[in-house]
Amino acid sequence: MLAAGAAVAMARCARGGPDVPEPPQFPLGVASGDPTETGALLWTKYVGEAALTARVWEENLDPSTGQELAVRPSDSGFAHVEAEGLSAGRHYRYVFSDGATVSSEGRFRTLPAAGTLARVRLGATCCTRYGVPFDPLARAAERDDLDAFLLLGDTVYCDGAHTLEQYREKWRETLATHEYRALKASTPVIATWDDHEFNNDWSEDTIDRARFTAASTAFFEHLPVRRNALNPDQVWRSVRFGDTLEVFVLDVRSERYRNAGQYIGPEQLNWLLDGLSHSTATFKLVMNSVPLASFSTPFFATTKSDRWEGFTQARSELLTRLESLRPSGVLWVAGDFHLASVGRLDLQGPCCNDWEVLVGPGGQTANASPSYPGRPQFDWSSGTNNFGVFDFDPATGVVTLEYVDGKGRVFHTAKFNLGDGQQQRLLSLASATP
Amino acid sequence: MGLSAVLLAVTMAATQPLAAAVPPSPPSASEHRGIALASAAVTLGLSNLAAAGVVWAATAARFEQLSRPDPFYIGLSLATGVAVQLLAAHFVVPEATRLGGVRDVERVRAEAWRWSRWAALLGSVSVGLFTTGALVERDQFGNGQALLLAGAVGSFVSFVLFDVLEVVGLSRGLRQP
Repeated sequence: MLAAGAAVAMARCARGGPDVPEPPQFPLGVASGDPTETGALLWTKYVGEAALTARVWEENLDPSTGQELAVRPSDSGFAHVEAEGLSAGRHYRYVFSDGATVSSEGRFRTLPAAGTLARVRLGATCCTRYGVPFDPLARAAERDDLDAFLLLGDTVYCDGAHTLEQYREKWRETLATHEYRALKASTPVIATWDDHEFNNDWSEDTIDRARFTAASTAFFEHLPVRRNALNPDQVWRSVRFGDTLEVFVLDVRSERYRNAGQYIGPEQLNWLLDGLSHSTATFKLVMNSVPLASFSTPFFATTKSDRWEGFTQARSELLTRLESLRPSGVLWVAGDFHLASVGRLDLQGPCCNDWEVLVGPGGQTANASPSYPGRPQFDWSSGTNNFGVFDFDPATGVVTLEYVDGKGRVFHTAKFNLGDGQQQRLLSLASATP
Repeated sequence: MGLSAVLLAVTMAATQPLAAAVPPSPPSASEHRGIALASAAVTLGLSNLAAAGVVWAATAARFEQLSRPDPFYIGLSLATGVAVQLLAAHFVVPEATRLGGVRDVERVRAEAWRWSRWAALLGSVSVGLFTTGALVERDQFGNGQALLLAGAVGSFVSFVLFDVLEVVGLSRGLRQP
């Protein structure tokens, strides 16, 4: 019965096209996240009382050949279940079922095996505010070539929420959109948080514990983010795609103490620097929700206190230590600014020639500054809502970043030569003609 | 338009003591100063909207084309908006006083300009600063932003001040014999 239901669900798989309503038992659709070589974390929100199962099977094979997993949702119906024992580098499909109703179908790819030098393609965006069209997400969901999708923060705007129920409602209204349901079903997500999942511009010493607990609970309930066994609230982690790429996911909020000038905690900082210098992956992508680059101009100075630049000593320590380690293949990716850009970290100083790209926003108003980042430090910037597609090619050492708008048009491309042993440089920039 | 109505009320209240110091000239039987001033204020408000609309439409279209703001284009749009505002305020707004039976529109026009020209000057200088900053900003991100900021603030201040002084001038012009 489950296999037959899966066949029905296949026809209903939301892939970014016209909205296909979810069964009321699974109102927020399905999702996968934090893939491994042998599996992924699967997720859904279940409304009902029946026993829940998940079926996972290899793509292009019959669902009956897959494995069935027992699922124990939380009291609030949020279900996280590990799919394990799978093969590396393969595509899988999955559904949830309570015996009578089958959810829509999801798809994920396990990570390449260790030692593999396969091409890796990731999508990424940030800043999606409910009420603003999420067209870029819908376009991303239509693709079947992404190995994962990075959510860089401000996925949901929870400003004004204080209680767990209020935070849940904010998450519900955003994730219930057909664009998000389609995206999360189409590929695994790798997520971090920024400020708006809690409250605008928060830090550890400006938010009260009850509010933090409510917001972080809602975050982990609504996303397939694997909890750290020793520190369940820890968001920073890494995800390794064979020997091609290692993604370092940062948490630049919950360890931030404004009064003490601490941006991230010493453990996270040491982990990052150690990871970057010792990783054997060709490329290292650092997911940093708020930009590291300097934007030392009057317009951008008004928001300086909320980013690395406003924590001068912490930023200097990071860059100085990074400069001394000189890891190769590093690319920083950030969001938050409601604009996309390609530029260097600084005009001068340690790591000034390292590259940082801003992607998104996926669904927000554009940055209101009358002057966007430009030469000589920045090579390009744009206020068009977008998602970025990173293509990591270990054979050539080249990273290609395409910016895709809400119509699916690639409106800008940047290529970086970041391969080991070669001078890291921007190879080319190309914008589509309007 | 709402802004102009508020400014009108504030201006009339603020200038009452001044008006009391100067013996008012007897109104002509066919002039209704309140209606005249209100008509002019409403027209001024409409000219605000027209000027703002020109600036908004031009900058939005350019943003759509480039997917980013063009500060120089914004400066040109602001200059166009200022021109629209000044032309409307000088040629159209005083004419609206005819709805209150005013015949000598020229005296109203002259007095209004006598007051508002300073705000017009501030606006023009501000737009000039903004546009200069935009030119400096090209290929030197950050270098022109102080001028952009000064120009933006000055433009906003002059936009509000112009309305206030225009209404003061219209009011004074209507009181003259």
